[in-house]
Amino acid sequence: METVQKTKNVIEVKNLVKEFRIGGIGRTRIVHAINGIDFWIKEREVLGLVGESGSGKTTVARVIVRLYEPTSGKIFLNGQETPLRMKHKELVNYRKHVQMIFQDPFSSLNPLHTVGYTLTRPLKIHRIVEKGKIKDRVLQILEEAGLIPPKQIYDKLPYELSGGQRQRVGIARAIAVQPQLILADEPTSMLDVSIRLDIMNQMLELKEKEGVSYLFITHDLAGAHYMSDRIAIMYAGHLVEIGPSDDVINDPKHPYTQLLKKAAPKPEAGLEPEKVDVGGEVPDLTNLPPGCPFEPRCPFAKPECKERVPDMVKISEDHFVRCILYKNAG
Amino acid sequence: MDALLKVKDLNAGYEFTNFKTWAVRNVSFELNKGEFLGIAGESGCGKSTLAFGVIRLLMPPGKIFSGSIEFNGIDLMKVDDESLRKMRWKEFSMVFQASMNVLNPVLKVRTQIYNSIKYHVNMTESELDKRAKELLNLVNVSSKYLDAYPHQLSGGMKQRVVIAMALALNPKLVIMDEPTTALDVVVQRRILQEVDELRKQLGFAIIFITHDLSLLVEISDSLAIMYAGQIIEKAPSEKLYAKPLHPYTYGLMHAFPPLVGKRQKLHGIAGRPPDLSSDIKGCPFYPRCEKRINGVCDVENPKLVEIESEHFVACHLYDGK
Repeated sequence: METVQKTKNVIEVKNLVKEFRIGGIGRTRIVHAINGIDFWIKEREVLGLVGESGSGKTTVARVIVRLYEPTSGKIFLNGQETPLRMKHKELVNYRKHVQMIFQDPFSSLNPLHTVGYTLTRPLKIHRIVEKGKIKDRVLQILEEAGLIPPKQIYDKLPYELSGGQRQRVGIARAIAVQPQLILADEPTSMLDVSIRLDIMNQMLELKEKEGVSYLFITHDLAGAHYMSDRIAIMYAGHLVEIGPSDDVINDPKHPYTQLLKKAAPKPEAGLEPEKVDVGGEVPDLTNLPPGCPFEPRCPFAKPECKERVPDMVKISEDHFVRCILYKNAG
Repeated sequence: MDALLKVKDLNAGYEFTNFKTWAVRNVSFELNKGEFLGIAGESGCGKSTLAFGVIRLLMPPGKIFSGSIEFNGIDLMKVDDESLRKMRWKEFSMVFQASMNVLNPVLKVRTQIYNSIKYHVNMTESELDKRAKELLNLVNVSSKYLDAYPHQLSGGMKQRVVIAMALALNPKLVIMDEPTTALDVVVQRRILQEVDELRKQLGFAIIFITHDLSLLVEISDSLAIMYAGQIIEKAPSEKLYAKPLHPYTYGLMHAFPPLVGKRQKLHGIAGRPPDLSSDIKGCPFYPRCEKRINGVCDVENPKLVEIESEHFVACHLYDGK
């Protein structure tokens, strides 16, 4: 893909692959969780990553934040290539720029530590502020993350907080080191519908204020549309479509994106639901078909789809799709 | 139409030694034969307690404090445990939240379906085999999976097997407690479609519980919105969607972004639901409501009244209308 951009890319990923070995001796199988994906995220940009469970979207976030080592591929931070295997010092330095918000606000906070302690740690580890000013800074971060009144929240333990407040602590922890990129792994899926929007709005506000970029991972197409500047659709470890949010949602090109759109609840479109007639489920990642991974479920499948994975084609500015139905627009 | 289930002034909750959580408060509703009723609300608003309560499945510390439940002309509050056990599955069945964990991992699908049938009716081995195959066909699972163990099935297939088991004895009512929340959007949509088709084909009624209102609006006949243990609005789906009367319902409907159309800034509902172990004075939504009337809403809890035909709402905004 052409990657000449006017604004700076905070992160760029090229041909990223992650495989896991599972099973006992003599029975090892390889789970192909990510099969060569490319994307970039610009400054102050939100890229939505959408896919069903098992499509590999969480693995992408975990590989980028280096909770997993990538199997192969290249990851560039601010245009600089980063080593695939990092020493501890390199890792600490890297995570000053790249942080993560986890899906489950109930298990991602240590139940024995107060909110204040949880937020003091990153400031100490990364030596962000002078020792005497740490508490002031923590209170400031709490307030920015919408945890009001910060002085009371500071001394609370996670069990004293609601789900939404806990997720705000997760967000506060991520922004504490003033990173350039935050990988948000389904940050709202465990929360009640009524507070999801508040969390999303909070994240958007912080984007403007702190100048941070997000990789926003979700299975909810509508949420991705609300949050993101661009959306990438993932299926069985491949990116099948990536483009500006409005283009991908209003005029989805890949048959899988079209299926996702059909299946998403959309009461605003009227009360007569569209029939979803595509059967089957996500293929077994230990035994991927050689061709297009969506071919077994695809209503437009042709014989040649079985032969090899189609190339990513550019159909308009910034809009790419991995399907033989489309031709390069030049 | 005949009412299948009549619930009147039901109060239920959980009783502990030093306090009591009052999770269902004065709930009354009727369900017709073959009707699809959706119940929506935030977590902790009592929707699961209500579902367990109406088929008397609440286990201690859960308890029904008062009220009456009439199922098909039988007063369920007066039925003894043994007859209740016989009625369950035959008359009404339930599909639980995260049902994939309901299946016993060391028994084949066949054995589990057989067991649920054998407990209630006498059938020969060949009849059981025939019925089990029928059931799997009904939910679009190939009958070759009868001899599979649960771990060999995908999440969607397990959910379908559990639904098939719930339908094994042709119940008149199936209660589904967030049956699809653990599934992917595409599979979720497929299963909902199939359940709705089965309902039309077999004529059972459904009470469907979820926190995802957008899912329900498209598929259910009528919708009840719960807040703090009470039903605060109930109406046919299209009426409720076109004209939500209660400020909470309005908030819930605007709490998820639309998929298509222009992007615009939206807001959730500020605050959180009240603690159900305390007494609530006035309308339970009062502290979060944008349209509250001071001196009225914080004093008296509004009753659920019929504002238009079939459209019930509990809100002081509609007093005297």
